[in-house]
Amino acid sequence: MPPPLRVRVRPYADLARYFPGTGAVREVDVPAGATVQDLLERYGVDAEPRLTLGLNGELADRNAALAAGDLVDILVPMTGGA
Amino acid sequence: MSRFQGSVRLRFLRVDLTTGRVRVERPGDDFMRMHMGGRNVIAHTLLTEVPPGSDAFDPENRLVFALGPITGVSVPGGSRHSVGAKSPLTGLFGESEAGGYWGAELKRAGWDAIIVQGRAAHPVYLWVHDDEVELRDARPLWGKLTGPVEDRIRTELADPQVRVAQIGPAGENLVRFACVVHDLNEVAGRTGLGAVMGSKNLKAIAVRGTQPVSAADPRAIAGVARSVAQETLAPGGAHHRLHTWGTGAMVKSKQLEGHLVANNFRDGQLPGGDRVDALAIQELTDHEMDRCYACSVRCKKRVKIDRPDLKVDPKYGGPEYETMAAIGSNTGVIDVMAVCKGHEMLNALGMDSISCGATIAWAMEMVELGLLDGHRLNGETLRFGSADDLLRVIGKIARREGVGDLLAEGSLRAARALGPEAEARVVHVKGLEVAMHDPRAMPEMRRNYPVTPTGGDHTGAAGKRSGLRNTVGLCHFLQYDEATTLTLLNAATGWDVSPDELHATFERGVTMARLFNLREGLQPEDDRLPDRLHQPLRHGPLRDRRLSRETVSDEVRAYYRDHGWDPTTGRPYADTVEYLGLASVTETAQATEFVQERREPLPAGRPPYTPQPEENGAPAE
Repeated sequence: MPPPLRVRVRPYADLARYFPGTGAVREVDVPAGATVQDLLERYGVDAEPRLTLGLNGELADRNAALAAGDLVDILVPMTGGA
Repeated sequence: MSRFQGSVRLRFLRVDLTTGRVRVERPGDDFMRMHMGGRNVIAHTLLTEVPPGSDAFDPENRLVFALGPITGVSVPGGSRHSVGAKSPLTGLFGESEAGGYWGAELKRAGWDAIIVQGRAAHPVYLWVHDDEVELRDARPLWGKLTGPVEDRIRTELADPQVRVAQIGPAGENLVRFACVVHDLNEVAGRTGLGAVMGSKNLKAIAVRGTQPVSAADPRAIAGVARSVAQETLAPGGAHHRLHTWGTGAMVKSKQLEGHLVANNFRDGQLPGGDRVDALAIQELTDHEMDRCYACSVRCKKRVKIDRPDLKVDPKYGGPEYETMAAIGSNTGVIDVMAVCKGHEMLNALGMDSISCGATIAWAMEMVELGLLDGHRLNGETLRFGSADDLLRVIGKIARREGVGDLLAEGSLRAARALGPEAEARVVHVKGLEVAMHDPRAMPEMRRNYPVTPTGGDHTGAAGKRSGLRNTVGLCHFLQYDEATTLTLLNAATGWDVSPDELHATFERGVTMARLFNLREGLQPEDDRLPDRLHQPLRHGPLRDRRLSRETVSDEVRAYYRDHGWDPTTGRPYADTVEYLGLASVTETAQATEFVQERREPLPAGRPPYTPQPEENGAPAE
């Protein structure tokens, strides 16, 4: 069984409550081959109705595969309107 | 114990500054039920009292402070009131809203509205203490910043609880985007209402009231208030993020998605642009959250910075998202401390952060292109990304010094002085600088900006949800659905307003504002987005996206149709005006020529406008 991947997550504001540990950037483990969506499901963040996701500073696709050391930004979209 | 029943006072205060006379007007229960307050009272007043074609600075213009029936009721969100006049920026319907405590205090003093007309011979301020109303000499206050003025008025009146609405030096100097500042941090920012107040030589309105606002059904009000306080402030709750960080958290989401407003709307991303964010303000400054009247959400920032090289006074509050983007990323400035300083200056000088920031960003682009140089710049430097340039020019605009005199006219008038190339780069609707949400990425903004009666406003005020909130005096940020809004309205007033009646009230407001705008020269082609917003962004994931003019014009026609207006001319149909009870208003306003007959008869029993669900999306920040 391949070893898990260790990636970094940066959950903004109250989204931090989904992840263990403290600090702005937290290290978490996901199974080898995991995608961004797998990470969200593993920690329950996919319960949020809308998310904006970054992967190493770029807008991320939920289906993007993760690599060791990746930085995943997890935010809710800043919206507007009536 | 209050001598008033329910939350509506049935009293307007009329102030004629030319003669110095004040009088009580009693609009009557039927009028108040029909128009309710806020936007509708403003639109009715402007239509029936301002002579057609008047200049915004003419003494005949009216400046209206209008509360809603919910203003002053002890429920979260019940702090709001509207200010209105013919706008010196657009020449059209001017309206803006504010929270804080001033509106609730005016209700406690026993008034639903103050209507100001004329021009005083010298600067004055109005002192309203319940039924006692007095015009007082404001010459010693003229030229002073808002903070010291509030202190001096409270000292003079020997009451630290007095609430003050006022203009800063920008309003005195007729800066066309000057605002009205309440409680130093609650501004009726948009459409230049502070300049109208300045043109009337009215420095401030100080208010103190002692009559509690008693709701007709206090238990229903308390139930809603308890629900907000207990259920929605927990993590994941409807208001938790606003409660904890205020507006402008997670600006990085705009950066990642590629629609951060940057460099005069040319770029959707800006390196470091997301550092100007509420999270950063909380992390980097001495910061606390504050509230408006009766509100447990407490989403207002107070920022204190006390460094040897930079001081920011918390009494001026802290920047909301619009300010962060307008004087931050849109001018290329990524220094959050400088943005906090800029916010303090804007509230002390009395200027709308959106129009001011947008005008500065436009001027920076003009300098880059060589369209603004030489004697007009008068030695000034205006560089994207320079916090020093930004802060210096904010002060110059308020005082109309050097290039600030040109920029104080707003971006559209300033551009017309420079020529068509400059005008083509102004990001405005109807002369009002567009707010800091990009319609190329946000459909709700694309639909609202072209048709909002005030121009490029982000609050969704063309729509039912926000339009009604501006009328009843309820904050946009409270996630009340329409049923709860109706519960609050009826519990506050003792009325039995139905959903259809509430809808008609909204339609009455937008139709009166429309008639005013048509009478003042609005053409259907003014209901559009500016060229810049049909051009692609230069950077980021949305750089290939195009917003077509056809999409916008189709949506504008649909909006006309939905409101019972002709889809080609944008003029209200006669049956719409009749159905809304506005026929006599239209006649008094000399606006009948802007009403037209419907081509096909309306099916019997159908209202002339389309029933619409309330748009209940996330609030604009």
